[in-house]
Amino acid sequence: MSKGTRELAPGDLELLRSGLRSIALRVLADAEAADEAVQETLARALAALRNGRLKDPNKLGEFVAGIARHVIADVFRERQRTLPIEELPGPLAAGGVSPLDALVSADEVRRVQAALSALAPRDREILRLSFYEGLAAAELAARLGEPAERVRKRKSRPLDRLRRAFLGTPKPAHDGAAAATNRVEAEKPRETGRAG
Amino acid sequence: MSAALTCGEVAERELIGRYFAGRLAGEELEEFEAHLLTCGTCQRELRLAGAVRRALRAPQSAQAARSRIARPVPLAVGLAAAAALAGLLLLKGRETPEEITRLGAVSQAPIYLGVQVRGAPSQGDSLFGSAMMAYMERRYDAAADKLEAALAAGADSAPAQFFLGSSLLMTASPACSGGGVSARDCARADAVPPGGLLLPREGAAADGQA
Repeated sequence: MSKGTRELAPGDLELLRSGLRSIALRVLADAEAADEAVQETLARALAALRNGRLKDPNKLGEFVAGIARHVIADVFRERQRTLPIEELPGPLAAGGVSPLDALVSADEVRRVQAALSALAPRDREILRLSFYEGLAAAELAARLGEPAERVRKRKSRPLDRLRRAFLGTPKPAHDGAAAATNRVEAEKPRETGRAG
Repeated sequence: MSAALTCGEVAERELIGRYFAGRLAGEELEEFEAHLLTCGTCQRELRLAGAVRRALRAPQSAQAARSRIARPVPLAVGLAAAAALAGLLLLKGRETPEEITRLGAVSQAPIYLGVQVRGAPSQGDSLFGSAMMAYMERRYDAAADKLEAALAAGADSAPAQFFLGSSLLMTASPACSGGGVSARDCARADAVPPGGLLLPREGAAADGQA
């Protein structure tokens, strides 16, 4: 193996697989096609790593994402060739349904739904604008006529509640601790699954 | 490409919500996906966003399903649904667990002859079509997975729920009517949306009588 390259540890591989599946599913909108693309991407990535084509180990994500884009495009083209036109996924419409919605289990949705029902209607509306319409804080602020920083807070507090419900973790003793924990987590540069 | 993203920047720039809504493109999309690949925290946040989206959509979709109930469906689906509903009503008043589990003891799946899609097919319709290919090939487990995805993607709920129920019965029938229930099969039963045809509810039966 050349200098600057390394073997992928099993943990790395699994972490890449999960992320790759999300990326492939978003484009291909079909679980089988996404799995096919993930498998092919990992095979090509491993071959490329063995050939010493990754010069900077810190760029593993960019490296594999680049391979994934080509593979996903190939799988998409192949499906266009073999599938009837009516079975092909359409373009991802803003504000519409995303194939990524299928990444979560019914149980996770139920937990989040229970927490969501306890939120104020205005908080729910902020989350809807944020996650459905993809509005950033500045856009939300303009839409709601409130300062961006206030909108950001109004989004982050309910989202913390939903996150706890999603993860099935109990409510902490006080919100300050939760906020601190989330800040630390959000500021972590990388997840530990990244080797090197 | 610029310096690698951090989770803090992903949160700051609200990339996950914009990614879901299809509002990321070009270099920003490439940056985010490169980060997502190696970041368990952002993968979890992506799934959280998916759960929030589905939870936000749930009441709306239930309402839409109710409003769609009067939409004409093909004869085969109508007959099959009517037969299933009649069976459920017959069981009303004597819904012991044994009788309910006997619902799973089906030997033949309802025949699928096709569902017409009006207008341009949506993503949910595409997923439904793919699911029914699996169903017709008697790959009921795969069909159930795909139908769940189709429902999540907004497919017409009446036929999708009916064939999801049928697929689950075909995959889970030996397990649920006898022993050896796998955890996955049991969990799958929970995936049937409220008002689905798998288990009768008091409210649903009352609706049927009215």
